[in-house]
Amino acid sequence: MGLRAYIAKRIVYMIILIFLVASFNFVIFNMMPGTTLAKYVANVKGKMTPERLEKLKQQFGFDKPLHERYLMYVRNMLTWNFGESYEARRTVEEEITERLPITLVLMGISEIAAMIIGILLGVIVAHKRGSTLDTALVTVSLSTYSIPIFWIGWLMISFFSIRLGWFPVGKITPAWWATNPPANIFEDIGGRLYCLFLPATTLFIFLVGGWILLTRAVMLECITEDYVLTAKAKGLPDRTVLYKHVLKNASLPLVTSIALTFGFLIGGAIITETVYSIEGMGRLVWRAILTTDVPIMQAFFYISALLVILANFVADLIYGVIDPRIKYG
Amino acid sequence: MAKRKDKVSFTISRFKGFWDQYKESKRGLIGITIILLFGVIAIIGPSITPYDPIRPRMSGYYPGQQPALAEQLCVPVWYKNLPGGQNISENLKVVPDHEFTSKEKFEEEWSCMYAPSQYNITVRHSETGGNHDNDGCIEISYKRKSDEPAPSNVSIILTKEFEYPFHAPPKSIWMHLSCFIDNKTTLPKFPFAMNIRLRRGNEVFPVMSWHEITSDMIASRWWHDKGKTAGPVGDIEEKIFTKAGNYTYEFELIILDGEGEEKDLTIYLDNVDMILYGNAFGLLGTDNEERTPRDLFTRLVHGTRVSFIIGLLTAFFSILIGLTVGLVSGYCGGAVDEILMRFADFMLVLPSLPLLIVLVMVLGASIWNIIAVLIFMGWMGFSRSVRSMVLSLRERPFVEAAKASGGDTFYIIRRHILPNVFALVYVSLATAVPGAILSEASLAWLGLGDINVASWGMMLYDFQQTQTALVRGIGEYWFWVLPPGIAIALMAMAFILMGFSLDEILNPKLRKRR
Repeated sequence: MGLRAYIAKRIVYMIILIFLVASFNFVIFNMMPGTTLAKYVANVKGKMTPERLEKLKQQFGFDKPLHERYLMYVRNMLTWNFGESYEARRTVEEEITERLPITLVLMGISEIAAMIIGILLGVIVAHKRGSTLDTALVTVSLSTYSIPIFWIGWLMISFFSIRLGWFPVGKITPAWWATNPPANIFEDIGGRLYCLFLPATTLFIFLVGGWILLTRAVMLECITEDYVLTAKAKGLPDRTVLYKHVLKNASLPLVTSIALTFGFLIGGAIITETVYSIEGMGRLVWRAILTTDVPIMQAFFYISALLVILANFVADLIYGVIDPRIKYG
Repeated sequence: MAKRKDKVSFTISRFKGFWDQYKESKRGLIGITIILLFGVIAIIGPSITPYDPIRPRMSGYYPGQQPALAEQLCVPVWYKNLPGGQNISENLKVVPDHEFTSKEKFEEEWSCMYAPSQYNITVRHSETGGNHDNDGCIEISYKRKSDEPAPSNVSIILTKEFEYPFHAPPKSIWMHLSCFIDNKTTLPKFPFAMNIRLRRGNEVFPVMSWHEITSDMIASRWWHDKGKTAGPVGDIEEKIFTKAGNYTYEFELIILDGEGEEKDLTIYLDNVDMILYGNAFGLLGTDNEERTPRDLFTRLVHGTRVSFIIGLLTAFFSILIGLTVGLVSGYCGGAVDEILMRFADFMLVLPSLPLLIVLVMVLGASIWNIIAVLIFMGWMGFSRSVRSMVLSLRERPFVEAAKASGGDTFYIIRRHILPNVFALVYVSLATAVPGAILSEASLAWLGLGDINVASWGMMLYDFQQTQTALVRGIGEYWFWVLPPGIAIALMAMAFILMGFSLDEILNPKLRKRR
């Protein structure tokens, strides 16, 4: 099977998966207690004009039988029409566009930092297997990996924010902006990053151990291969051997993991954002779950799954670039 | 055919060989030691901690309401040995035998006086009366013939001396009493009043009084009352217990007898108690549960068992499912493989924590539902690794040989494939436990824990609910936050360490070159 046929096959899989996810969303959120329109209407009675209610009904097809509603729902998902949030009474799109940047910056910074530093450290400890550094780093990774993230957050807040007073808590922009707004773009970015420092560090601590361990494990599987010995025998410098020969061969599982982190990107912030009370996507989703705000949940699960599916697809293609031995098929 | 005995000895020698290797790994030993330690705590811990981890009450019979175990937000008792320890007060039960089961004790501890004294008043311990199992009570009888003059007030005072050994005042005072009046004559509307006072030297502090007790309230049935004083600084606790020393508990019963008729009353008193709640309790203090503050040490100990149950059950069943799915899909291939692996893919692309939360919300947050959901969400990764191993195993010559000699699918999977993937099973079993423990803690922390189960996550959730973490940090309540967090981390780490060492031994690719 050639590359084209392979891509075609993967695309078919993708479509099936997307369809499955969308259907699952429909089923599970229709099963959840307290999501029927009747209950919802009872909640918002008087707060909403009849026209608006009518519009909502039409949009979600609440007046129609289940199968028609399902078709309508699939159409809505495919056309990126997520409807209106039950609670905030704004469109889901508005809610998401407002909060997504915060979460993306938070998760992006910590994920990327954890990934880069974790992989680098993993390569180093795999190279120096059995050394003190190896033992120390592996032990530290194993322990940070086992600490609940909210607990790390509490410790960080208690020490850095409350004891030392270095960082603000529960804010996404510095307090001094109220009187002294940022003069230029750099101050703007700097101020925001400063406020996200603690949560990002918390996430980083939580994530980096996993990357170190994973990289170390996959490196060790390759480091004993004969071609590594050959490369060394040729007189290549250690660094070249490690990064060009071992890491490149070992990187397939890493690519898979990177693809899977896309799923963690939006949803992974629930706990961190709750600890630091940052109003990002995580909090939005958490509140949506608590209040059974179906449109938001559906949109979130759909987008989140879509991201992972696409990332997996890209990862599959990258495999071929990294490892030419892989025959698509 | 190998005999059973040979088989056993083979297994033993293999295990010994394995153990010799495992022993080499320091991490593995640390891991297994911690697990064993936790195991011991999980097995015997709950039976040696005396308190209920969920809704603890003080022991003893109190018909009004069982008193709380301690005040809310107590600090550990061993704070008294630290600098500043003079600000610590512990719980003090003023009346040790509040059910009055022993006559000697009553006569030794209590003294009684009454005025005016010319009437026929007796105060004595009754062996057979009493509110609970007729186990004894105080019997007060008052008789006045119609020709004797009415005294208007008859005051009967029972006192009990006690020592208050703490330099800090108690946080609150809790009182209880039961009363029964056996009346043979007609009574005015409010024939009784009761006062509870505390006395230090010559100073008298009224604590509580009941004025309008009608005879109906207590006639022909026991009347129970309980009271609690607690409150802001400057309340009576602070005023009374300014220093350590001898205090007197005083119970006064006033019979209002202003009419001329004949009186013949017998009053039974039982369950008379006063508890001074200190600001320190137990090894790790108490939490802030409203009516039943809980001993944090007890919760910590009970949490061990819960975490073990969650971790082991989840790991076992998710690995079992993963193994089955992996074996079937890898060995059978074809459409079965496609369907199972597509389903696994589907489960993997859904964001895991939000999905966990949604499923637990839908099913309800009971511990078994949480375990079920964790199992349901935990098998995919393992089934994929098993599948890829089986894919390569089934092409091996020994499988072909087994097929040629007529082995059916089930037999080949059981005898030839399964033993080869078992190394992976052990490793994954160990590494699946921490994930489950951490997930449960996260769920509980978010408020989706089982409120009837004392888990470590619930301890942290309760602290989260106090909202102090963001405002004042955990410094003040470190004894509440640090132990469960450390326990979670330690237990998770122990299993990871064990899995890690198993992996180094069982995974041929990771073996060190010798």
